[in-house]
Amino acid sequence: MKKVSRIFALLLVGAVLGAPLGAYLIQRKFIDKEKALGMVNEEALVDDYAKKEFIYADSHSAREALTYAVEIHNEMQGTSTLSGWPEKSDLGWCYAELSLIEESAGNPTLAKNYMSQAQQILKELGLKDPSESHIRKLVQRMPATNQPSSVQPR
Amino acid sequence: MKKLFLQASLVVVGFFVGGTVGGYLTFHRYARDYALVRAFAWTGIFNAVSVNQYNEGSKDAKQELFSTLTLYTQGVRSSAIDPTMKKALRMNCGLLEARLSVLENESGNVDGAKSYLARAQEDLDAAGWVDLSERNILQAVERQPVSPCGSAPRNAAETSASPNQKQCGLTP
Repeated sequence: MKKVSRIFALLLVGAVLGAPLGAYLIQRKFIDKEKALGMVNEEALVDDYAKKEFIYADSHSAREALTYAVEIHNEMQGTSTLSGWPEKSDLGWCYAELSLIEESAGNPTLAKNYMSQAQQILKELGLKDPSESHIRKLVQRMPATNQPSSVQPR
Repeated sequence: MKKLFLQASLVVVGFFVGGTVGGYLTFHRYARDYALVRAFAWTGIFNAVSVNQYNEGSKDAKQELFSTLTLYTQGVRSSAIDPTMKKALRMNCGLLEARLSVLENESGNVDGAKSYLARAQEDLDAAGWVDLSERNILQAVERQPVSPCGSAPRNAAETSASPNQKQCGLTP
């Protein structure tokens, strides 16, 4: 009986020492990487959706998608370990596109606010010319047949 | 000496058992709490691979696109996903169906192509797309040259209109 207890105690000592190491290795070698990848993919998917909606969808859907993308980008800036300047740049362009949508919807104050946020972000990231006119030129909407007249590029 | 060796062996065995259990429990907790993040990690990989194969004209492209479409469709049906995210997934389903339509057309299966295109139009309509004509949808999924940076290339429409292309890490 005493021998069995001793064997069990030795196994337990080993297990107690091994468990944290196993947990650490799984966390570091797999979970952290997969989590970072998942977050960056989620951000990319939402951004791609917003950009496509800006090009192809009606103003209402485009606004919804871009607002959602801004929300996700902002959320990921603090949590995603892989989120860097490309994602921040995406956020800047989302604001710029939102600004054009709000302008065409007759909300000049909101449009101005979004544009200034876009300018600030893009300036921080080193865009050579962060002026409103240059950003507008870059964020021109595709001259496709599906664009409502109210949001055509100028 | 032998006794000492046996005792050490027991500790080592316990160490491995403990390590395995600790790793498993950690992973189990992660898989339970971060199911959505895990889904995004894998659908992102599937999507990048399948779209790349489509752009390269690979013979496996159809199967890969279909697998990705299945993953996205599961996401659309999931109750754990935000409604706006569901719209994003649905738009991606539409684009995958459009690509499958192109591939079916190329392999001579006109009925299959039409069926996929109809499904694509339905999904893109739900995502708020204005022009649901075949020409516009097929233009959105036009094959793109594979990016030298290794990332999935962006489609024609986006390339022409999006200001935030990230080709080899450059911004405009």
